[in-house]
Amino acid sequence: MARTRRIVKAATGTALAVLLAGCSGAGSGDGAGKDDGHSMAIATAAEVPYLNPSNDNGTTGIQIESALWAPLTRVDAKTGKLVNVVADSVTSKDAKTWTIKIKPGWKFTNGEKLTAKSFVDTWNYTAYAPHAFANNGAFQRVEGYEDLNPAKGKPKATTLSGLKVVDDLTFTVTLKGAFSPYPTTLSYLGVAALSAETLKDPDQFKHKPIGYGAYKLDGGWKAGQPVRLMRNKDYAGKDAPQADHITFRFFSNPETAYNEFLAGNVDYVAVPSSKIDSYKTDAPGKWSQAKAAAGINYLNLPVTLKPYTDTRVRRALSLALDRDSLAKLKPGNFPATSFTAPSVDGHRENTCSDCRLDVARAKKLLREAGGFPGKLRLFFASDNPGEQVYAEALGNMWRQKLGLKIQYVGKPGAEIGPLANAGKLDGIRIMGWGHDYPALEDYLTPMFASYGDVNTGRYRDAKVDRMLGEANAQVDQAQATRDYQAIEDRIAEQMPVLPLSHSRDVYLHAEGVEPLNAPFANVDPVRSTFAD
Amino acid sequence: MSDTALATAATAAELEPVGEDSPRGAAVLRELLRKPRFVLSALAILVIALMAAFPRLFTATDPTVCDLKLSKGAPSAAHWFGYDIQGCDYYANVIYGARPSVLVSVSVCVVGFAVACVLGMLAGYFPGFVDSLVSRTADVLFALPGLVAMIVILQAFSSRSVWTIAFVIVLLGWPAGMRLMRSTVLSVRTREYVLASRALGAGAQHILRVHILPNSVAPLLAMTTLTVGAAVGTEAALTFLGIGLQPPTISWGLQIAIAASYRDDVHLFLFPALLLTITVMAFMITGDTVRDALDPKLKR
Repeated sequence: MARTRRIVKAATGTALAVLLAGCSGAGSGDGAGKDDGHSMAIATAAEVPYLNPSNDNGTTGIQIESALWAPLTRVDAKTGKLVNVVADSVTSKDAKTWTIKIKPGWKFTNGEKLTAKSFVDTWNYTAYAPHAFANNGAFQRVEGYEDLNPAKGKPKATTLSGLKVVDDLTFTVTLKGAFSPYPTTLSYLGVAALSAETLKDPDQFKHKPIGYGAYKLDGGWKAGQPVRLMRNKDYAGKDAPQADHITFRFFSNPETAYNEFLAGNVDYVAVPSSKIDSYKTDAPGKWSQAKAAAGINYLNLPVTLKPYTDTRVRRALSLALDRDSLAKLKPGNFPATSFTAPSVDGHRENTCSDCRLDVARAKKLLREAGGFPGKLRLFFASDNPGEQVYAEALGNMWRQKLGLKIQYVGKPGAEIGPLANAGKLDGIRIMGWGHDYPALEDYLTPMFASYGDVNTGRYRDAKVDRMLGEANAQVDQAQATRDYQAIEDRIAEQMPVLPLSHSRDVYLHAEGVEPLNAPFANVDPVRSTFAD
Repeated sequence: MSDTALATAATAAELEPVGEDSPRGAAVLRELLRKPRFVLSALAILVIALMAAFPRLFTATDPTVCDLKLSKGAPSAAHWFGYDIQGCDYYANVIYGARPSVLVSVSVCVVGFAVACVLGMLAGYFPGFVDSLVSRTADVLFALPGLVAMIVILQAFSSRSVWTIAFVIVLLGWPAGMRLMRSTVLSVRTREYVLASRALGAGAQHILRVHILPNSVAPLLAMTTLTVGAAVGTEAALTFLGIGLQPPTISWGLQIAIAASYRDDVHLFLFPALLLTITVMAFMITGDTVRDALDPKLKR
């Protein structure tokens, strides 16, 4: 069952993996649109092999696709309120059957009209297991999902029984159970629509995306080359960003991107960990910090393996960490004391009673549990100097405070994720998670549900699963929040992951380019504003 | 003609120190000790070797006692080199960092010398199949771009130690020494004393050991001393690139790699780089002077 949905915002635990390069015309090495309007060059850390929002859950890809497509709904970064983009209305009487109306006048860049059928066809295609699309899991709440994704054997159906086209611009979605925050989940780009032409053979359109967003491809694109975008004149939305041309460039090493910024070739960049002492002097007056701390950095434990099966061991590991000192190793980080992100409604501080330094208690718990036999294996991305330093800092604390033997396992960052997804990590992994839609639920489900997308430690608690189901069905929002908080309290008793820090990412931006920086979402350089 | 040659060779063997092909040990040493360049660099090597073997002679501090609160502390009277990013005493870490460098260089030197010597002698003395086999293998390895090939091979190891790195350096490094050895053996094997020995019925093993080896080893020896410095540099370079030694090993390459990212704390970069430079230079200069002494023909 392909349940992977949206991958970790900061899988390697560094500051936002997306490095942005903006350019207001002058100084950019990019020829695009020098004389007509504002242009930006956006550089990203990871190379994007193809562009398809239904089959992409990496931060970088989703960011580019968010310029090429548009979501049904969006959480306004400034107010935190849900606003409609492509959707005209999303309504339900019982939180189980939802009616989605889309606005008229939207069309794909190939001329096709965007209709209710576009969505239903795309969703059916994505939810069908043999297609192996990355955002398959986004539809696991829809009725009939199991028929398309059986645990064994061939799927019984090719379409979700819960999806029905009513008319050209209206369709209904029937969920397996009531789920009141459903409209918020529609802000995730993984549920955008593909054109009928694309759905006939998606492989043909991997490098020729047909969207309906504020931008479209400027010329051709081949994997590995920069992605050049130009304004889509037919964009039907009212929220088009200011930039007329955007170019995404790829830098595998975050420090290279940083140096490109200093050289003036790049106008927006996230500050890598290793530049924590220097960015203020390197780029005076050009650095800013995100207003939102929309994410959590934590350690993923292989809770099905000994000795991590013992809660006391997990709590001891957590109590031996000096989070204040650890947070100082990363730009904009501050210690975490709970399992959700501060930018999310319903977030509480201090829910994690073991997220503090108490060596005496840690030793006592470890002794009661019978110690830690063998070596503790700690995985880190060997191509990221900042993460190596971070891993050593963690290891030093456990080694010196609890007397554990540490084995550092360095692997290229791109290899660790697939290993973890295959359940082959026999040690601790440094991770980060940022929500797809701002909700407590989007931390609890992916990280702790037995079917959670980033629950690579294979934590499984029947009661958590059941409580999640009940909270999801709760129509009263205030009560739902209380239910989710109760789930977090139960998780805090078990410590399947060790929260480390939240971050308000630090970034550099060129003069005259102001990326969207608001309290309810991560910094978004695509939606930059220009001074002139 | 051949009689005279034989006689000369015999006299030469009796009349030290002037050998026919190369000068002998004591004389070499006497000549070397007269050179301040050699004495200074040999002293530096001695100190580094002591550092590697007995780091406690230089520091009483445990390099693994770290406190993150002291991260990147500047040098002070009590902590000469300051603290590293992990908050460990940097002086102790730099001292302990000598060991991998010395281990790699010494093992590369010894094993590499042995491999090149044996294969070179075989290739030079047995023309035909053996020569072709060894020489063509060497050609193949020569064709590989050194550092890239090392990176590719090292990627295959899930965990890497000093020994894996030494192994890879030797694996890709022996052809150079082998070729040198082979060419000297080729010139020696047709000498009159070798022919004479063969005429008297000596076996290949005897000839190789008694006549060929002592009279052809000097250039290889000189070259090997030069490669020691290069091996130290290669180890540091591989580690710097992230495919050499891994934490928690303490090594100059690792220290420099981290310091290069955090280059605003200059002391983190300065001290390991300084020691690495001194070590490589000391080995290079020693090698240079030794080569001059062993191989007078190269002297200007």
